[in-house]
Order: sequence, then structure tokens, then C-alpha cells
Amino acid sequence: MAIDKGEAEITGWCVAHLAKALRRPEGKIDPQAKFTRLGVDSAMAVYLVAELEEWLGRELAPELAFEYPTIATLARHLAGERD
Amino acid sequence: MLFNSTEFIFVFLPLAVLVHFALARVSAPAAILGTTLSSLVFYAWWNPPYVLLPVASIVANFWFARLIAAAEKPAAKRLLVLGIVSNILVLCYWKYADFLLSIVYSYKAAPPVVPLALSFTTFVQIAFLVDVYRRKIPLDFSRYAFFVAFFPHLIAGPIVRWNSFGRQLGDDARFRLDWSNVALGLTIFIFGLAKKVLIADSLSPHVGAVFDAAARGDPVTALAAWGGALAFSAQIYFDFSGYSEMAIGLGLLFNFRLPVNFAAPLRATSILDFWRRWHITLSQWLRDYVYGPLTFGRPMGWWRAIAVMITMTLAGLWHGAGWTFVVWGAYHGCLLTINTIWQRIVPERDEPTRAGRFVGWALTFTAFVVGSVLFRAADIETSRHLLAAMGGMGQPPIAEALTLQHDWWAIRQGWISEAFIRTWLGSTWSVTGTALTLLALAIALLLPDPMEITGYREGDAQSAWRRNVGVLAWRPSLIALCAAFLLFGEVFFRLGQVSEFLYYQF
Repeated sequence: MAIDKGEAEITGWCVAHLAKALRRPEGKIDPQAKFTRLGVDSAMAVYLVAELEEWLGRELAPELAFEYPTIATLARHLAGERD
Repeated sequence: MLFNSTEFIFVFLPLAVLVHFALARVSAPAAILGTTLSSLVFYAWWNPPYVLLPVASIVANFWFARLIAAAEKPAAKRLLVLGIVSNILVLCYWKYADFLLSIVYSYKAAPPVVPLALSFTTFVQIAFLVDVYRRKIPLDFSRYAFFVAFFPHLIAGPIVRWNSFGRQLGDDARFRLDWSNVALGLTIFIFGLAKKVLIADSLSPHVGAVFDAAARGDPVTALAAWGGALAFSAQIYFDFSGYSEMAIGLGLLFNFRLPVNFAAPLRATSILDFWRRWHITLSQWLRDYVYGPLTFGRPMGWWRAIAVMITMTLAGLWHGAGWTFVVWGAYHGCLLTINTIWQRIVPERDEPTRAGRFVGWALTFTAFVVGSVLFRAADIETSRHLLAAMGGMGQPPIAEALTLQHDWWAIRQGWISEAFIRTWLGSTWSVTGTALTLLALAIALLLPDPMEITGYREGDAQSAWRRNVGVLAWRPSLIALCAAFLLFGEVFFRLGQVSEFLYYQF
């Protein structure tokens, strides 16, 4: 079932998810920084979207993180899309 | 039967479309069955007995998929591994057996005769088995057979995925003829045909002259080596992107959307960018089914660099059973690793400067052209010969008569001298080849891509590469119809000289 989430909640989820994947403290994950600058490679970006898809309960394009290359822009897009 | 042959364009294709939509009036399953059979006829045209191979492969993989779907996790995983290994073994038997034996017994392997489509259908079907294991896809044999065999993508891609193509098969609205898709499909098909017939095929003899001379050990000047490498880079781009666009156009005639495979890759400003734009469906396949599983749950670091090298070396081997392809793959693996390390040291700017973008483009383009020598050369010795010449260690031309006829008209007119050609281009490269290559590269780099003009989007990695094409933006109109007709007219008179697509050999 699709769950509506706000921009801040999606941002927080992405920060926590990437901090775990990159084995870094959450404070070191800047939502404004490009994924490439954070050290996220293409496969990790696709996994992030797959996990988001499961969490949000709605289908997402696998290439979404290339279209929206920061946590902030991705979260804004996903929060806006539900409206 | 080739997409650029008269029997395909004027007989097979109209018949296949008519049969599809006539059967669709009865039911969608009837249309699916009819077009699957047309696709097998298309395949059998090349070598009738070989059609048994894709048929057997489709049946066997569907059987594996059913077993995987019905099994509990540990058993399903074992079945998945067995299914993947079986597919790889079949591919290895046809494609790599002689290469592997040549390594063991130290002899020179002959180029393998690989059944058409085997490399592509192997990847499509492995991805399907993995998707069934991960997501428990509802299974239907006739839809699966259509998904694998659909002739527009069967021979050389784009590599389709069930999550996109399978869903389209479940949509009954797609089985009604859509004239706007027919118009768009024919336009994209003609663009692709023009890329292949007018540009790639025109470059072919010039490329062949240089690479064949190098294979014989004949002297090649630096300019000739660079000319041959640049011409082949342009040829393979126009040949394969043209083929992919023809496939997309054909898909649209049947109301199906195949993924974009090329996003103006010669304009890429880094090698990472290049691989997001060149043969996109292969890059995505390798990312999702090789690199991703190799790196899943592991931190960034050396292992990721090793995983890139493994992935790209396998990508090289997938293209062909030969050391040149292995080295080509490893070379691109090195470039991607260097690019990733560079990104970590010098973080990417949000808004790169014009100078930065130009330097990035120049380095990427040069690296691609150098790599293309390995891709085209018959063997390592030939590639070494050409790369040495490109590095300024070319041999002076021999005092034989010029073997190429291309420039005689210009010599007769007094525009260039034979001595000039002999000194700078040798007997293997020509002024004509130079002009054609520069024209082709200018088209690739400066003119809008057909995907930009038509606004076709499906599964491409990013939209940032698309430029605003203004008044050139395609829409169904009388002007667009006339333009397409004129372009087809140009192509039509060359259809007699049918040449195979470069990617058919892979």
C-alpha cells in the first residue's frame, strides 16, 4: 500500500539509509551534496531507489537518482509526486 | 533478413504489422502468438535450423522460471544459480569454446560462428530469471516467448527487461493500432536507417583499408592510424545507434516502447557519463546483475575498483571471444576506476565551467577513440601496430602505387598532389576518408540526436543530456512527413548495397 511521506521524512530516511550503506555518521551525509560527491555509485543509487520503492509502497523508476542527483531534490520530487 | 534490406522493409514488416493487428482484433493472446511466430520466421530467414536454439532456450528458461517461482527461498536460489549457469554454458559452448581451447593448446583461435541473437537473448533471459527470483512475477508462456523473441530487439537489443516490457504486454490498449505511434515509429526508423546506410556504411571502406593494412603489417602513418580510429569510432556509433533506433521505431509500429540505447554518447564529458549514454541497456544490465551483486553490502574502497574491473572485463568478453575484447574491457575498467578516484579527490562542481566541460569532453572522446582500436583490430598485434602509429611511432609510407581510388578525382583536378597524400596519409588513408569522418563526427557532436528531435523517452538514465531543439522538435505534420519521405528517398537508392550491422557479430 502506498504511504504518503513528507519531504523532511523522506530526506531523513535517505540520510539514515546512506549513512548505513556508506558506514558513516548521519551528520556526514549532506542532503544538498550530489550522490557522486557522497561516494554513491550507480549500483548503490539504484539500490537506494529500490529500497525507497519498498518503503513508500509505490513504483519508482530505477534511474530516478540520476534524474534527481541529491537527497534534497529526490525527496522534493517524491514528496511532490504524491500530491 | 536485415532491417536495412528491401525484403524486410517492403515485404516482411508490412505483413508482420498487418497480421499483428488483424489478430489483435480477435484477441491480444492471438496477436502475441502471431507476432512470436513472425519473429521466429524473421530469425529463421538467416539459418532455418538454428531457429531451434532460441525456441529451446525460451522453453527451458520458462521451465526454470516456473520452478524458481514455485520453490521456497533456499531451493529457489539453487535453481536460479543452475538456470544462470546453464545459460552461460550454452553461450560459452557457441562463443568461447575455441577461444578457451586456444589458450590451453596455444593456437590461434578462429573467429567463432555464433548463432544470431545468442548473446542478447542470454542476457534478457538471465535478467528474467533473477527478476522471477526477486519479485515472483506472474508467469505466462506466450507473453514470455513474445518478450524474448519480439523481432525488433531479438538480434542485437536494446536489452529489454520484464518490468517494463512485460507490463506493456498486459495492457490491452496496446493491441489497438495507434496512428500517432506509427508516425513516430516510422520517423525514428528512418532516422536509424539513414544513420546506418548513409553514414556508417560510407565510412566502412575507409576503416577497412587502414585496419586491414595494419593486420597485414603494412606501414601506417600517424595520420592514417588516427584517421582509421576516428572513422571507426564514428562508424560503430552510427551503425549501432542507428540499429537501436530502427528497433525502437519498429517497436512503436506494434505499440510497444523499447528502451533508449544511446543518448548522444560522443558528447559525454567523463567516462562515467559516457557509459551512462553508450549502449545504455547493456550498462544497466551489467550494473544490476554483475557489478551490483559483486558490491552489495560492501563499503566503498578497493573492492569496488576490483568489481569495476571484473565487470568491464566481462563486458569486453561478452562482445567477442578474443584478447582484444578482454583488453578493451579492462581498459575501460581502468578508465572508470580513474574517473571514480578523480571524483573522490576533486569533487564534481554543481555547475562545471565551460573550460572544465571541454577538457572533460576532449579526454573522454580521445580515450574512447583509442579504445576503439582494440575493439576493431583483428588481433593484439594489429592493435599494437596502430596504437604505436597513433603515438607517433608510425612507419614511413612505402613507395608503392596508391592502393586507394578515393582521391584520384581530387588529384586530377589539381587540388591535392599525390606526393602530399603519400607523405602524410600513406597508401591506406585518404582525403575523402578524412572529409567523411569529420562530417560524421560533426553530425554526432553538433546536430541534435533523433531521440532529442522526436522527444522519445523510455528508460534512459537522465534527461540532462537532452538539448532544446526548438523548431526541429518533431510533431506529426505534413512538413515532418515530407522531411521523412525525403530522407527515406536518399536511403532508398542505397538499399541494394545491404551490409550487416556491426553488432550482429556479437
